[in-house]
Amino acid sequence: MTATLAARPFRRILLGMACLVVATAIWMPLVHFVFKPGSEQMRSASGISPQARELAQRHLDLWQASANGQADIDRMRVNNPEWDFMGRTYLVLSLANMCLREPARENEYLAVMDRIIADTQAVVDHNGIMYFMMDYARIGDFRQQPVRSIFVDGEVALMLGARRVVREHEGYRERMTQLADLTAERMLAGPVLSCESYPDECWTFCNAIALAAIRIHDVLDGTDHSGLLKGWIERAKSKLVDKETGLLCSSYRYDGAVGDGPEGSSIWMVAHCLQLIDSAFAADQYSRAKTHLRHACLGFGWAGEWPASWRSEMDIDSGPVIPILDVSAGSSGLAIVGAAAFDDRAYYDELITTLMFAGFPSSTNGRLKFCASNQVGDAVLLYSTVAGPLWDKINKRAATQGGA
Amino acid sequence: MNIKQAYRSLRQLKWFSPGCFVLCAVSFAAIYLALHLLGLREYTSVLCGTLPADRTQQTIVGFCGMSYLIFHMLAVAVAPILLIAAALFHFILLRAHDGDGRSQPTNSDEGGSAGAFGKHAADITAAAKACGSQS
Repeated sequence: MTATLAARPFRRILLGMACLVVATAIWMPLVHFVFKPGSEQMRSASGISPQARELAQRHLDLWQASANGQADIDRMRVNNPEWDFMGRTYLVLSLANMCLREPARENEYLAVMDRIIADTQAVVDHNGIMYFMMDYARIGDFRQQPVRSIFVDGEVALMLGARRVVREHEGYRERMTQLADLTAERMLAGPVLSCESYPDECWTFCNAIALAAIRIHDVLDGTDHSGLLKGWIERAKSKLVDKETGLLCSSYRYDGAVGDGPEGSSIWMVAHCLQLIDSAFAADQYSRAKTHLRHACLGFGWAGEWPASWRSEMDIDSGPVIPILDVSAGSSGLAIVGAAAFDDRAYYDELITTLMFAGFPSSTNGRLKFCASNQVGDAVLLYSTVAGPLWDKINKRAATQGGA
Repeated sequence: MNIKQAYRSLRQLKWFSPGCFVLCAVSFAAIYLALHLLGLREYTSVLCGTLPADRTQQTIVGFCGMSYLIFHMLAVAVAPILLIAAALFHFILLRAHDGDGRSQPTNSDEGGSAGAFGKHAADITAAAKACGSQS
């Protein structure tokens, strides 16, 4: 047979290819085991997992040691100043959850939260909201006057609310009341109970975050914006849902005309925020997002940016989308938040396996970062590892108050 | 063994031979390790769209990041496949030799494919040594 093989290279090539096929069949189903973290390694049921602690330490350094790590933020701001702002929001949300998971270090985490909130407020006061917005915010006119952006107002209110859920702060109570009441008033004035993030551009992501902040305000301060919350859900179901997928669109004009269809970089977080408003609708949106955006193969999972029925161009939110596989870094990162929030362990494990494989984790001196990510991406990932207690506490408190 | 001999040894490796599979796997792993030690892992932030403002820097960062990504995939996904395939290939060829009633495969068999796993591994080692002594 060997002599035959020598005489016939074609047969040797066929044999070699057969060996490659068999080897592929052996190895490919096993690869994910190399990268799959242990059950409590990334996300712990009650405490803080080792990986989450390392991820958090990097961010704590950023805010504890002055200017340390500022280069990361500056590098990110070149591409999108929004990421600087959103990185702060996700970090505050993460720290609020960490306070509830680890009360022994509450004071340390609260100090960082306060520093972030104070710095953010100072930046907004000094530089205006445009500091955290992309350049096109300066082009065109906001339909609603005076000019405000629900992107900034909503996330600042949410940061204040998260801080106050952990421990009350009188100064933040006043500021949050101002912001939440003003935002609610402006939303009620809009044709689809929404405010603009950018000129004549309402983003579902920003409006959902604002609704969550208003809900937290209601729970903390005993106010009642249930009419707005219910009304927004009803309008959203009737006007902002994509007919093909049943998913909420990602952006719309002030009058409610749909702009961009469903987007992965938006819908996972929207579903998470809606858990505070209408848990059934939130679960439905998460389930639909999984149906239309989830991809999985050989133990790896990821998320696409758009459903098959709605294709669009890559943008700053989606990040680069790898064709054929339909991998979107933005959508996949936020899908981890969604999977964690909806306690979808199977999808969460698949996503984390992919993250460990293609996110290029780098751990130095007890500080973890993902090289394929950036500061906001890592803050989102940190949030996915600790999310849960904050929303649970709000919902429990609402239930005891007999809230919606 | 000098460079020429090492080169000749490498050239004697046949495509679709166990030795060639091993050589490819080792090459992927070695290049990946080199890129890792050079710090190119940091440049994979291109995957989330984080790029420097300068166009030239963007090109460099993009090239470095994508190179690292490609060799990461090759080292993690493809190299093990090549090693498993090489072992299978070698095993099949050895069995074929046994079937032919020969106890010791020679290098002339299959132009270096029969018994190639050990033979070519030795050739590669010798070639590497020769490269080292030459330098």
